[in-house]
Amino acid sequence: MSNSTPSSSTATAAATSTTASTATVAAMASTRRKRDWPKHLCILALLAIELLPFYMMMQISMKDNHMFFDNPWVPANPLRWVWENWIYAGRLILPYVANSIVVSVSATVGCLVVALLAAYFFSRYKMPGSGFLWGLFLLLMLLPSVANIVPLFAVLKGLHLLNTLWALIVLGVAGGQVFCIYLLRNFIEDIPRDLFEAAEMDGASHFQQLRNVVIPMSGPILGTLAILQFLSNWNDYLMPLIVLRDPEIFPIGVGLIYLDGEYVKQWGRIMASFFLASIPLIIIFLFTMKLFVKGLSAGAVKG
Amino acid sequence: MPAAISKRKALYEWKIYLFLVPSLLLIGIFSYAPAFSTVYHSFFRWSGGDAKEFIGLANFKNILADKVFWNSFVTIGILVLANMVKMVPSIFMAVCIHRLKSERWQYNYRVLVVLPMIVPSLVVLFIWKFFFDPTQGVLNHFLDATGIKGFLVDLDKLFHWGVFFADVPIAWLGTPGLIIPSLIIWGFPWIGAVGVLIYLAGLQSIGTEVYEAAQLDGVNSLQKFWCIEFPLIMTQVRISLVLLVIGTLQSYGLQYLLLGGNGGPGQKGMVPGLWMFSKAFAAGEFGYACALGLFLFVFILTLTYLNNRYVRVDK
Amino acid sequence: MRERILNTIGIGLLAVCFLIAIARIVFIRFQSKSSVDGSKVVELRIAHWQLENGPRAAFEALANEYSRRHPNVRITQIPIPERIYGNWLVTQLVGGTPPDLIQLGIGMNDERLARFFTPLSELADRPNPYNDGTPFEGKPLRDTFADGMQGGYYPNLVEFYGVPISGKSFRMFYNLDLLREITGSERVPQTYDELIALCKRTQEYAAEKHVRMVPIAGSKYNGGILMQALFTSQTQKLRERLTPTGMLVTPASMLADRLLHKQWSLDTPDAKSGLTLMREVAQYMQPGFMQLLRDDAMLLFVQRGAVMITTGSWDATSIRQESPFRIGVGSIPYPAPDHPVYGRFTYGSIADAEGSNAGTVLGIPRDTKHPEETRDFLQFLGSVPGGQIWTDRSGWIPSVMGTKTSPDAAPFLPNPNGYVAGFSYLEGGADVGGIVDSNMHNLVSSYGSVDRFIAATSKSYERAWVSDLQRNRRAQADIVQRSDTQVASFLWLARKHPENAEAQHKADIALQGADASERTLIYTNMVLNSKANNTAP
Repeated sequence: MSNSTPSSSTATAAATSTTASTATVAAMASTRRKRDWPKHLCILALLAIELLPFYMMMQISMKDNHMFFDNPWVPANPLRWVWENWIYAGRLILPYVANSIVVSVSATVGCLVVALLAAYFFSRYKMPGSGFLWGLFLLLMLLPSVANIVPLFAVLKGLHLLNTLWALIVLGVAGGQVFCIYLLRNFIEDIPRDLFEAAEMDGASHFQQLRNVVIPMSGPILGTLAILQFLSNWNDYLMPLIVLRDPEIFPIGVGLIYLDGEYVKQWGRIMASFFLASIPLIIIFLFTMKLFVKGLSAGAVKG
Repeated sequence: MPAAISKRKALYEWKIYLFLVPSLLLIGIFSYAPAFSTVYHSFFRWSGGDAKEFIGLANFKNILADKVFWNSFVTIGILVLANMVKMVPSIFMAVCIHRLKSERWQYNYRVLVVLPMIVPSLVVLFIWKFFFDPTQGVLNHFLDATGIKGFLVDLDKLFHWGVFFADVPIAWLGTPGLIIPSLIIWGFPWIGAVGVLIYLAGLQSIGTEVYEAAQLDGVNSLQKFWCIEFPLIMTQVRISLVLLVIGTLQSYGLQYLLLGGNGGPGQKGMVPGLWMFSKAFAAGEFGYACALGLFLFVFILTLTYLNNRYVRVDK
Repeated sequence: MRERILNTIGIGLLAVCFLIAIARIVFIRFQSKSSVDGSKVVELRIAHWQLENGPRAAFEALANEYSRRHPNVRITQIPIPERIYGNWLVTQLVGGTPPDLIQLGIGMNDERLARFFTPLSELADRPNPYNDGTPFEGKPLRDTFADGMQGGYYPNLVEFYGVPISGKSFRMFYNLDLLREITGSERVPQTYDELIALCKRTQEYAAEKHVRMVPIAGSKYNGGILMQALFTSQTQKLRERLTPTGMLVTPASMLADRLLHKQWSLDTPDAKSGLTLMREVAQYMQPGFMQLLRDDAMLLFVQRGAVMITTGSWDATSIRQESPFRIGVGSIPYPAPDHPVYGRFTYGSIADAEGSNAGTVLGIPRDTKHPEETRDFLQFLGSVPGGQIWTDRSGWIPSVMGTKTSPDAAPFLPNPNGYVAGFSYLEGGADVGGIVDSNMHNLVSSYGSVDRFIAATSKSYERAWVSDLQRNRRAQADIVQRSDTQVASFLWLARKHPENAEAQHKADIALQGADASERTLIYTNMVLNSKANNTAP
């Protein structure tokens, strides 16, 4: 994740990939008889470095500045842990976390609902004009969002959305559209046509078809998309920095930037705040990690 | 594929267009309207308010003479190249995991690869910034402890870089010559969880018989990678490459938070996106910023077009 | 199955958090809409970048006191970190959502002031109602400030745009424990040579004891303060040569004019000597300090990584609270006139000039929804009782006269002994600052030198002064246009009511103001035109 590639963009990579056949992992494993330990070693080494920031964050959050400078690397003696850091961090960061939850959850749900509708439109029939409309969406992939920031600001001003959480939610919903529709369309198109036709015979409306056919069939991709969208909203800080004024509605990103702006840094407190900022993500991943990994690697994201 | 539909049926099913309305409205207001507004305002002197003054192509003429902007393209070019190299560890990781015998470990490692994603990216950014701190930072402590510092100092003497000196902590983000290297080592070992999982998905389509045949031919692991595995993830690699280039060209958040709106000492960390951002939100020259944005858009569009036209990989 | 349960729990937890968060936001909105005694609560927001320990508590106390006097007004502060303050402010001003009171300085220039802020000259001439019962009752606001409210006066715009609510001064802070360890005494350097000697001694000490320690904790901010101060000591005589006699301040446009007419440049011996001084002290800060931020330098100092740090009086409270050692405070040691190398260009130490000691200047944006309440609150902040709360709670020196200074703040009271400072290499404006900033490494780093810095900047430096001047011209033209309408209306009023003395007075003031701004504009135009003629082939 520290790779500068936006995580969402890499996911699209697989979107147009050749169709992944169902895994033949078991069979493959038997063919490779070489010893595995060098690979294990490589993987573990890379993972260790990758997890170093996490480790530093945890152990520094239990130290005060003095302990930290005496001994930056090794965790402090548990008896001397500075729990004060956590109390301070909790008071400081929890309101931001709450705002971020509101924005990320609303934006993710909104984005998926709207994208699902649009994807259904594109994948169900070849309606007149759908080619052109599809082109409209694809073109957006090329439009650098950075070029838009200035007039987007003017648009938000015109809609009186500046300094509201609505702005972030709406932008989150709008910003995820292309990516989600693109992946969902590919997925829905693969659902056997008979299922739709059977539902239609039973007199199901399009909404009912969406609910009874599409949603149950696209569980993994919806889960994966939801997590990716949630992450991108949770991690956003440039837009909130431009759009918001009042501290009581800051999301976590801006809150962290403010924390970084203090004049005398108490690293323990900062790291404890960082840790608290990660807890919602930890919870989500704890419970949905399997879904996410399965969704991404077992061909949920495919073309 | 979507079902073909007759004119009459389409007329009957008109309601399905309504499904598209929310999405269209959203992208219309928040993507297309600002885009057109960018084009429009790039011909104006505009400082964000109601007043603006039509100045024709003056903004674009200024871009031609804007040294900072052109230099920022050199910087971003280097960063794009570096980011391409930074894809290698993810591919390497995917191949390593894929070749493991134990299915259980394959799964465990996937989960472990995803684990770093639970740290918000901004937290990662600040922790890395803390790693780079000249006096308290982890990186300098590490270089000192391992003796790599001494090696760097010797290299410096040899090549006259003038950036590394004995007994002087390395100011990673303060020495103009070190800013781009710092941005490049940023995020080491550059493993993107989503990337690894997607490459793995691609690798899974390799049939057993292919490996068996390779085994019989006595192919070594490097050949196995180039002849069997790499071609299979070529599509994923190519597309993530395109998205990475576009993503990098647009990026500026890292540079902004690390180096400030001015791009750091010697403006070495200035990238086009950041220049546009500062022109708008620090200098207040919104019209000029729009022109810069338009320029950037055309540039990216051209790149994508060339890529689609000439670098197409057959499926 | 197990996975399914996990997923459900995860989503359930998220849903609970979401509901709690929503409830919280609704509660906040409801609270801010609620009213006291049926009358609507006015909420004023005050944005500043004083994240130091002290001022935030002081603003809190002032807000509470004000709300006690005016129960229908609630005041919230928005503290913004310095690094993003400029961008944040521009965004809010352009977006039309500015806070009601704004600290002026970072991200501000004359053009923006003229466009987005309300002139306060009229407020400055009015007595402050909150001073009733103090010796200043009935006196114009500006006369109740130690500096005549110069800190809020913008000479290029010929208007007051801000009210300074605290004083400031620059000092050297010493770690007395370390000083005793190194030199055996707690005497702080009085002259420039003593400062350099201490720096050298510290380096030797660090080498002997194998400790990581630098003499001066530097950062772009803290190093900048020291270097600029030393530079201005070398331009004292130069400034006099460049300006008509008797002028105590030299406006940027005049400096630009002299620069364009080759009467000075960074290569002039005086300026060059200033740059040499800058390079010399820079060698005693940590390498690469120009990349470091204020908090890096502070951390180094409070962690005993440096013997001294140059910073403003505003950091005193933080330093005292954070450092586990005793603190000494002294003035910045300038080279004396009898100094063999640097004495030639200087008259001696620089006094804490009256005009430059205002900190925390607050202005009112045009777009505020509550101009009346904001003005009233600003008057409260600038009153004797308000100033007393401010200085008691923040530990900062007050800007208003008639307040009692706390003993902690005493070393920071302006020291009137000394001479007027010269000008700084930065004075042109934002573009000049940018050029200097991005070339500073050529001056201060180990591979740099004064000549290298001059060679690297010489061309762009002059251009930057011109472009800054051009921006100023736009701002001034704006002002003239605006004040013309104002003058016209005042004159019309005065003619219509010849018996009304106040109308006559107002018209007079407006006319004078307009005159002055017109003069500034004309002068700036002149400079720019002469530049055009000069460079024409």
